[in-house]
Amino acid sequence: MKKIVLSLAAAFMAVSGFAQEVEYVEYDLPNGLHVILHQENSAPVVTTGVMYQVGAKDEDPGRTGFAHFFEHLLFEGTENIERGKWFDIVSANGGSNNANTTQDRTYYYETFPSNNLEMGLWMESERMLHPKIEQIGVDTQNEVVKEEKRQRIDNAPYGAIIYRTGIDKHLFKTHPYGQSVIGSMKDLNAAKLSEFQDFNDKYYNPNNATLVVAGDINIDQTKKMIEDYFGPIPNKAPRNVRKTIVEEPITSTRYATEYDANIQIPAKIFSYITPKSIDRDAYVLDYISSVLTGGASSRMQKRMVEEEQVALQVLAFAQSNQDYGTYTMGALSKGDIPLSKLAEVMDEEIVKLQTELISEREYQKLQNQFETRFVSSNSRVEGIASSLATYNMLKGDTELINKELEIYRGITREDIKRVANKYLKPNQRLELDYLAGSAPTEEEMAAAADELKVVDNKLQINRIYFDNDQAAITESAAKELDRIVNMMMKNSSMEILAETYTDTRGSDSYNKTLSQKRADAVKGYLISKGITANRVKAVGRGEDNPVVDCESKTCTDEEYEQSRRTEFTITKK
Amino acid sequence: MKKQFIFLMVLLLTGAGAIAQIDRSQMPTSGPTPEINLGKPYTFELKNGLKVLVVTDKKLPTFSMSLDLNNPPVFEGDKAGVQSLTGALMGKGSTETAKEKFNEQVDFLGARISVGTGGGFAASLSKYKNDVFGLFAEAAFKPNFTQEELDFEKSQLLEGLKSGENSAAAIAGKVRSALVYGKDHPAGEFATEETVNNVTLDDVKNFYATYFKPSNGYLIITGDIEKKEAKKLVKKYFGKWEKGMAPEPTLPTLSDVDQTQINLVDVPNAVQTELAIYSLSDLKMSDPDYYAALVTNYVFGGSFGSYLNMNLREKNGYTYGARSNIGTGRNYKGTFTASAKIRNEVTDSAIVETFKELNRIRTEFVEDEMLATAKAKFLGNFIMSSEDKSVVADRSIRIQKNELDNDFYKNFIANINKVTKEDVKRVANRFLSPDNIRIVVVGKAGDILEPLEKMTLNGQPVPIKFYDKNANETERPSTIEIPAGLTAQTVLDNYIKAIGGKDAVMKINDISQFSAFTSPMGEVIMDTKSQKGDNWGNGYENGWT
Repeated sequence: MKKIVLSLAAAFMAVSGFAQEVEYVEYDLPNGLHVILHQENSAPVVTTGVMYQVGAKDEDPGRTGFAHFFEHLLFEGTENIERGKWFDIVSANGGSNNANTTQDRTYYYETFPSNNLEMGLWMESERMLHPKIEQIGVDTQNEVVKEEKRQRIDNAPYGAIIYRTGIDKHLFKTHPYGQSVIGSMKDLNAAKLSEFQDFNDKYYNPNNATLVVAGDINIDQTKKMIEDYFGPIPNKAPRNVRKTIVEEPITSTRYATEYDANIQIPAKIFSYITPKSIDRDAYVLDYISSVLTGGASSRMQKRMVEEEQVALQVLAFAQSNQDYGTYTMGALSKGDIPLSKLAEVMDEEIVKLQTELISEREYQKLQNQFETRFVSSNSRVEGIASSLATYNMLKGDTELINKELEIYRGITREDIKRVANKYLKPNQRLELDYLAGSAPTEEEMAAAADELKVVDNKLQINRIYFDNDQAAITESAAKELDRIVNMMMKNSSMEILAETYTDTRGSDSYNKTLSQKRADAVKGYLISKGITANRVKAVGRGEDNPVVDCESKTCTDEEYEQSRRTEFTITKK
Repeated sequence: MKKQFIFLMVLLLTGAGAIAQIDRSQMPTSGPTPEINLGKPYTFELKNGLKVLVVTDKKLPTFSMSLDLNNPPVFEGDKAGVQSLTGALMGKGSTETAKEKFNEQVDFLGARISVGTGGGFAASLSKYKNDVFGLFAEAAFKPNFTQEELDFEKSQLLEGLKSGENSAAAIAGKVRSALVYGKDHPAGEFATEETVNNVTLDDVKNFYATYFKPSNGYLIITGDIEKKEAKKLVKKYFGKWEKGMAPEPTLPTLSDVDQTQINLVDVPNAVQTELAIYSLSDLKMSDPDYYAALVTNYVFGGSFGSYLNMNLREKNGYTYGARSNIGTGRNYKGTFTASAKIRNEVTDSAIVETFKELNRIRTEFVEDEMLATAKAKFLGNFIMSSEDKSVVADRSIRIQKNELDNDFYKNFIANINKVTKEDVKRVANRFLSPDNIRIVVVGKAGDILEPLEKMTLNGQPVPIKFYDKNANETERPSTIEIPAGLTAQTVLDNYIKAIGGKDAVMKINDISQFSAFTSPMGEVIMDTKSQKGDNWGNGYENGWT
């Protein structure tokens, strides 16, 4: 009871400010439903939306795609809305509606002329109180969702980048963000009706939802209607409390190749795991994206597309979710420019951000760009409704709808440099080659793996020794390298990266040079055996990433030797 | 304070005692239809003929301007692409400001400015409106056409063309209009590598000089800007623009196919078929049947609950969505069209079902409930579109362009409400004839062709014509399946075995290949010689791209 009084009292602390602020009231119903109301009478339009705290990341293992599929099911009908009539009712009252599912939440909404506010509330309360979940609906939506997947991803150029199905699985190995929202058709086919009913009981409860009504309303009348329609809805389960799932940070570069039969022009993609959406650094990464690709004068656009003309198109975007974010940048190669060239230029741009402050003028540009973006985002009530629910449920602070610009304004040039250094290191990322064509078949992969074991794209060979201070290929090394030659002969499209490391004795620069010489020697040997030069990239890493840390303790010769090594990674299959 | 406390108590009490006083088994009834009073845009005309419409709306501290030159269509012929190249070169700096600096100035303001051959658009925070007006005018009136920029934009355009070569959707987009309008019509032609390469810098300059004219045009300004201020800025920046009009073209006459037929383009990698049906429509916005046509289309395929979508998506699950449209024409005829992305295996069934629905709307009366829903939806859309205040300016321009009655939008809802089920049936028979429809199918022939050859409509098989990705008629593609287990790798392995095994191949030091074959572009003769150390792997690799 006390809690209710408090939240009601909070509602009366009128949010006021300058004209463009979005005013709203918020409170909880006794059943736990969080309500946000935004009154704006300039046009006779109202949006009613409900956000549920359930998304793809809540799915059981082996049931990927379940949350999104369930969203489709909830349009089938309710106790009082006949199956198949949902869309008719909305249309017959002059409205429009939709829903969408992300990793973190599911959102449903209707927008009506404001004389149909009650209709929107009735429909959403019907959906929450007693949806009909029946086999016939499951069967129909199964086919529809399959087509949605084909249309959005399988048949769409760069679909696996846009919908991240070709990226996230390489980034997240533990956290469910590695699974795509659309999920697997096999999993969906295996799901039983009772599982859908259980899913409803577990997550679609008032205590796990935020209701938002925005537009041409009267606050008091709306509150009364909400009480009538949503007040009596019981909870069938406690609020969805999520366990924290920790994704171990990426510490050595991951390489992957994805194929897309719908494209002709390959792309090079870097993707990094970044902090969750409420972390201030997530906002800084939005700034970084804008520095690189926001507008015609942005750095990557200007350099890669206009000046050096190595890229047809460039992209960079930060996507922040509730638990983690991702930062992705990439470029489509122009003409015959190899992907490695794109990677090189992108790396230089990252290093620039890490070592130099952006100019005062660039900084002012960012501030102006984000102010415009922020102000324009509140132009329609449908957008305001969705933003209010999102800020409340995913960021835990509805007031961010007015405050978020301040967070952006508070970001300094030093922040940008710091964040670029903290999150955009090469060893923390996925390097993805996104290629035209079809992936090699399983038989081809198996044949390739037959002779040489491959783990995480790393070739498992015996150690290649170099004599101390020498870069010549020894006889025993040649034997190992021959195995690699065979494998590459058999897989004529395969490309590899050879990284040579020294131990930590001697000066950095000397070791760097020595390791490059050794890497070049390895490459030279492979070429002498008939492998084309462009299929081997050789990099001397010097003292980087020693196997045994010999800085903080005294090492034996054997321990030093473990660090003197060459690693082979398949960069293209 | 006390008052507030009482209010709180009242709320709490009603809250606690709220045992539903509503009957949720009954759908709520609508309140009275809201009044919309959008007013009229402030309108004036410059001496050069440009009509300006201003709508002040101070909800947000932003403003936008939109220039529509209202040019007639242009046939580009063997220089197809000149229009988009000219547009691409515009808005990239001016003769006074270098591209780099210009772009930086626009971005610095957080503004968006785009200028092209048909007009342009700009938007920004209203505090920067003076600068944005200036930059827009500079880009529009002092374009900097240089060979270097043209070469760059050409290379971008060519790469862009290449990028769509394998995409069923991109191919469909190009081929559909080429087939319906013909490649000798502005609406049907498309740019190819050849036509793009034909465009010279003089062509670009001429295009600009001929078509960037104000006298037919409209400029809409909306947002946080006063009439007076807008007028002052427009006069300052657009007042000196010399009057003139773009030339009217003579367009080829259009005709439907004389019998319903399938036009198929084979895209072997497609996982869905891009299906569309087309016939020409002579509907104009000024036609008395316009309102009935809108309602008819809504019922047939213009909405989620339409005959077409309910059949193909909800009943059969063939697609994620199917829609139709009865287009209106101004300069040339529009089309009646329906389209969907369809699962390969059911492409033929989807066509059969589509024609069933065509037949249904032509022979059966639409149910009263559906008709009422359609009308309500138009009313709802009409009300909801008032959220964007600039809609009055758009409507005013549409009235002028289409020579409509001045009260067209005032009477719009009343006219929609007058449509009867008899009208729907009559209009369906006028615009939705099943007899001369072009069924354009872009998809994987291996999966879809044989069923299509067996398919019948009204008991008759449907003739099939085949086209390549550039809408040229071509041969029937092969539908032979590749045996299971046969992959490029096994073919390669067996070949190597046949010529003496891997060891023998490793010893080869040079290769020469000779091949001759006919392609749609003509006969190709290839004579390739390579030595060990060349990129041998590439031949096989490229086989996939």
